[in-house]
Amino acid sequence: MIKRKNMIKRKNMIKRKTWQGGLLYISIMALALLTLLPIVLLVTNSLMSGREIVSRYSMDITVFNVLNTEYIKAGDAPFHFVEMTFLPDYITFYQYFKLFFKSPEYLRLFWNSVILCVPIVVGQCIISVPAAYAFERLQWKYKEHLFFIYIIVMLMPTQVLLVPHYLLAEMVTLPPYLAIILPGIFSPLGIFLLRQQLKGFPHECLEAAQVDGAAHGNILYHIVLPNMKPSVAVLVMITFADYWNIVDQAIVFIKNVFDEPMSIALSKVMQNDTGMFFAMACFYIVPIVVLFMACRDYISQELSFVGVKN
Amino acid sequence: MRIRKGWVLIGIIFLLFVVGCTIYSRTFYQWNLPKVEIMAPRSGTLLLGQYDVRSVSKKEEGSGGFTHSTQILLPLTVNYFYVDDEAEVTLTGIRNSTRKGRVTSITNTKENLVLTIGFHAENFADGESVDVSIMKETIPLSNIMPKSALHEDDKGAYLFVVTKEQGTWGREYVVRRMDATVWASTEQEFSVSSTIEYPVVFASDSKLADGQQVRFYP
Repeated sequence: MIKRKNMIKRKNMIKRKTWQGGLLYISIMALALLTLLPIVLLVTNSLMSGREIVSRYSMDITVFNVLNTEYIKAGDAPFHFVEMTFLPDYITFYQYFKLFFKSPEYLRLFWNSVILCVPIVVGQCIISVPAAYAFERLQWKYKEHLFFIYIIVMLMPTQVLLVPHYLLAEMVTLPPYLAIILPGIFSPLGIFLLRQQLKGFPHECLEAAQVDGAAHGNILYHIVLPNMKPSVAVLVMITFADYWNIVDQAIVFIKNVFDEPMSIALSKVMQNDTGMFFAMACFYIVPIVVLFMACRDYISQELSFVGVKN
Repeated sequence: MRIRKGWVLIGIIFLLFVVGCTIYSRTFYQWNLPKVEIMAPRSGTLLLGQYDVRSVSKKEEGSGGFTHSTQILLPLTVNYFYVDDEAEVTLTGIRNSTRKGRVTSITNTKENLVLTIGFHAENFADGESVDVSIMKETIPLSNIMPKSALHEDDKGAYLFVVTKEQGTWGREYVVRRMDATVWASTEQEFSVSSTIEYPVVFASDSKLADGQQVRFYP
């Protein structure tokens, strides 16, 4: 009898758990969908015709939105509300066609961003790995003091460092791109990140290699680097995302509008060529999504191992 | 644990696609630019008009002796001759010699402009025929261009000059409207009063607008 009672109780608990789990699952899914909405909106709206985008999202009164205009009071200029929608009236790929085949100026913006990002990402990987190794494994005077300064610099907001960077670039007459790329390459974030990772690296392996007569270069190249791929992948991802979405430095350093990266130009496209905005925004997010998806395994591993030592 | 090769492939295909699109759209854009022909304005004089007319001479007795004159008829539209302008008078017949003459008076009839040209000739009878050659040039000018370079709209006369400006893909040739005041003009050429520092467009294969990027005829 008692056994039977216990079984019923357990069944009820499982049922309750299942019901609660389902509710939780639905809630999480709903939240996930909610966070996805802007991207869905972006993609579906990029399939609108330019005319529809202008009539829905710009402030202009056109023949296509004049019927939806409002007046605050009689005599005022008419205005219309933004008419957001997920489904276009007509689906067209013309915005993409225009972007890729008829607008070399927009493609130039993409290449501007690539020219800005790739050297920084590559340079930071080249600099950060040996620097982090030197900080962690080599013994030299004032090492910790210098690393402390690195951390201080890392904690400073970008806007604080902009003025010194600008003054320095003016003093040595650096070209605008180089004035952004050089501080980017020597950013302390990468060194900090990789050093933290190296702290968890089994020192016995390195010491064994040293006992076998391996030089630091060999140890770094053959032992440390192959084991730090996830950290480097995270570094690549973070740096790329950071500089792909660059705004502050680009506004300050780049004077010529044709040299601006896509991140800045997007806002201008919204003002000057509203119809192109959504297609361009979709185009803008592709590289970062592809990079993330390619390094997804490394990033998941790195994030799951954070805090686990040895 | 590895980099997902499928996504790397997608990334490479995406990059190659963008490279291809960039090359295509850039070339397409470049090929479809209006083509223009340019020139530098020349210096020199403009020939406003030249007339060779056979006329009859007239001999009159004045205080200083005999004077000869002849009258030539020009269209009423001619407005650039003034009193004291030089003319070349060739005495026809057996003499066949050339003398310098001057415009002594200009009068209008209903249909013509009458220029009276006085000249000196010894022993030249009244009523003999002469060949008069008269021409008028401007003072030396520095900005002479063909008439095809001159455009006109409600705001007045203007030229298109080509400037080199920073464009999307580097330095580009752009046409700029330049308002101009015509100083002197003939049927073929004209001159403007302002200084022109850039090459002037005198022919194009399509209608131009201020700020338009162009390319040159090969």
